Amino acid sequence: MAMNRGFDAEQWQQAASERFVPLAITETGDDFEGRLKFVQVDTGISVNHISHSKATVKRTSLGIKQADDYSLYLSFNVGKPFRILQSDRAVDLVTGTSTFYVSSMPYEIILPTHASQLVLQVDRARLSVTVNTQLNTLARPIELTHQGMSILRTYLTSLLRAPETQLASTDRVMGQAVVDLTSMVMQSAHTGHLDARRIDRDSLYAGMMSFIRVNATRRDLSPDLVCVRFNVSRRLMYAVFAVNGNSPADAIRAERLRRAAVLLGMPRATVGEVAHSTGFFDVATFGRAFHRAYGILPSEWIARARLRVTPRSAGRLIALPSVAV
Amino acid sequence: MSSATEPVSYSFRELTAALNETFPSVDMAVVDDASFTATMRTATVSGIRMMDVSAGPHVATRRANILAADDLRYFCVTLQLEGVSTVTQDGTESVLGLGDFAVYDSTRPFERRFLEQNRCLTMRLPHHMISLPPHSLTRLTATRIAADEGLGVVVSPYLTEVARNLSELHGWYGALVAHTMIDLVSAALGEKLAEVSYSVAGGNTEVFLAACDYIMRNLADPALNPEAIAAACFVSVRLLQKIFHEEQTTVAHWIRTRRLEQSRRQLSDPREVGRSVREIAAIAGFHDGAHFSRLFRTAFGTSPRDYRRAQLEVIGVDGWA
Repeated sequence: MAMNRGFDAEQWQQAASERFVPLAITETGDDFEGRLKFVQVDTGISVNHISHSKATVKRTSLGIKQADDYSLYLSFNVGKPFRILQSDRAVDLVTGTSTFYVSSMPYEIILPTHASQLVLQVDRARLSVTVNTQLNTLARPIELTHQGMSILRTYLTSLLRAPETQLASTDRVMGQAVVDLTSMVMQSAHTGHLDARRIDRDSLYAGMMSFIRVNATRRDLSPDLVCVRFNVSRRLMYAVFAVNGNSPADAIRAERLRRAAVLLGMPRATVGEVAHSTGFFDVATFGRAFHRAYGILPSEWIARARLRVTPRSAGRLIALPSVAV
Repeated sequence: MSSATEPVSYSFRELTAALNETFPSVDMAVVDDASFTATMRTATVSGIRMMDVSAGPHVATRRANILAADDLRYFCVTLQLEGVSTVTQDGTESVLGLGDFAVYDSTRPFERRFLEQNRCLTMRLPHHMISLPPHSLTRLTATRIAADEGLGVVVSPYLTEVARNLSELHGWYGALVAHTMIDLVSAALGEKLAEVSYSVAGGNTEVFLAACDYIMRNLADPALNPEAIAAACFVSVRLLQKIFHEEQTTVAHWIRTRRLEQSRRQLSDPREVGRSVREIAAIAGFHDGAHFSRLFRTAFGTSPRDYRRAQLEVIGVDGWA
């Protein structure tokens, strides 16, 4: 187990941002103090005990752009009331209640006074529930009487107390137990909110598009990777894209080309480099796709962009061609 | 196969009869059988039978003559919820206080002494569920795993919570809680095994546990073989085989056992309904369907398909579908 302390808001912002994702911490008082105890259970899984004075903690869209992250959080209140906002929902947590939120979308935690919470962080790729289910449970209250919640709470609390073990094999087992129990609580929380299922396809589409945007330059990004990551069938994925007049492959290509267009406008860009760095396997395919999308060859695009570069605008991005995504 | 009962009160005679019907048979003795009372709650989830017994002072003994009469191959894990008890097997005797737990094996004689008013959660699970070879656990039988040491700090509260929620353990929820419980208990036993063996024999147990872990992580790999495991554990194939031989198993047999157990679990897991039997077999490292079916039938007495249908019928897939 490790421990962090921050004696003012600035130190705390740094400590919390390092531990989790870039966070903005505001609305603090002069006598701010924060404490953080945590245990790293397995790769991508940690249990944290966080307590600090009055503050507002924000995960902003800017922070999300700076550091892509794919974690699920479960905040369990063990002190004074506070509020969590995400996905157009707000939940007020009193002692003994908890809620899920994710790091891939903006959220806000408003702590009006000194508060104390147990925070579980899990890599969402390991959960055995669909993204539908995940998104549907965000910022909804989960009581301690909720199925599986007391067992999860007991387990997380004991992990924080456990002495360090020397056996690597236990990390796998302990981590898997966190994943299974969390999936279970999430699944039963979702089942209790089935009426909200109608909006799920929209959220799923938004989630997949955001995943594609963030991971466009990964060479292994493919429709298959998207449905694996979101734990849905290929059929459902294509259906969800079709409703929006799109397809996963088109969306990936469009995003790569959009990035390529930006990069080609940079000084000293070459077609080969840009094709490579935006996830295309060969220059010819890239050239054809680019031409089809923008009606102009990449080399011509470079030439045109150079004409417009002045000392003042060098290094800055040129206007993007408009393209439907 | 998943059911829980309300607490039921028993006289001494009734408790003896009830226990012997479901758990490894034992001889029961009490000081005063007229004043003896007990209450018991039971639940069965995914082939794991659990009972929460609250009773006055008594002694339960499984003797060699009873062993011959039934051929049950189970581990029993017992957790002390109130009072104090002792557990004796293979020449080891431990005193269990609040939150402590211990494992014993139904294939050999054992004795449980309950000295005062007592409450214990005891679960009975088939040998194959624990991810350590049965023989290696002989070093651990009747050894106290303390509530305040090592993984006991995590596993004991978990088991206590299971006892508290016994009546809710059914369906996919119960199956998940039970599977997690087995993994945690196995981990605690593994930790204890390393500790116990270190003081007795020295280094080999560490290699053995590392090999078991490597096997668990690489079950899906068709190329999982003694050579790969030995290389991962930095020992020769010869030494690896010797170490497994000391645990009265072989590397190949142990890999097959774990693969079968993993596929059995996945076949009874409602989260896996989207996968075909063939796929589940492949994830467990079986790439020949016919071969898999044959092994599965030998181990569990039914075909993978029938096993799955029966399990999912009991558990129900609502809520995951």
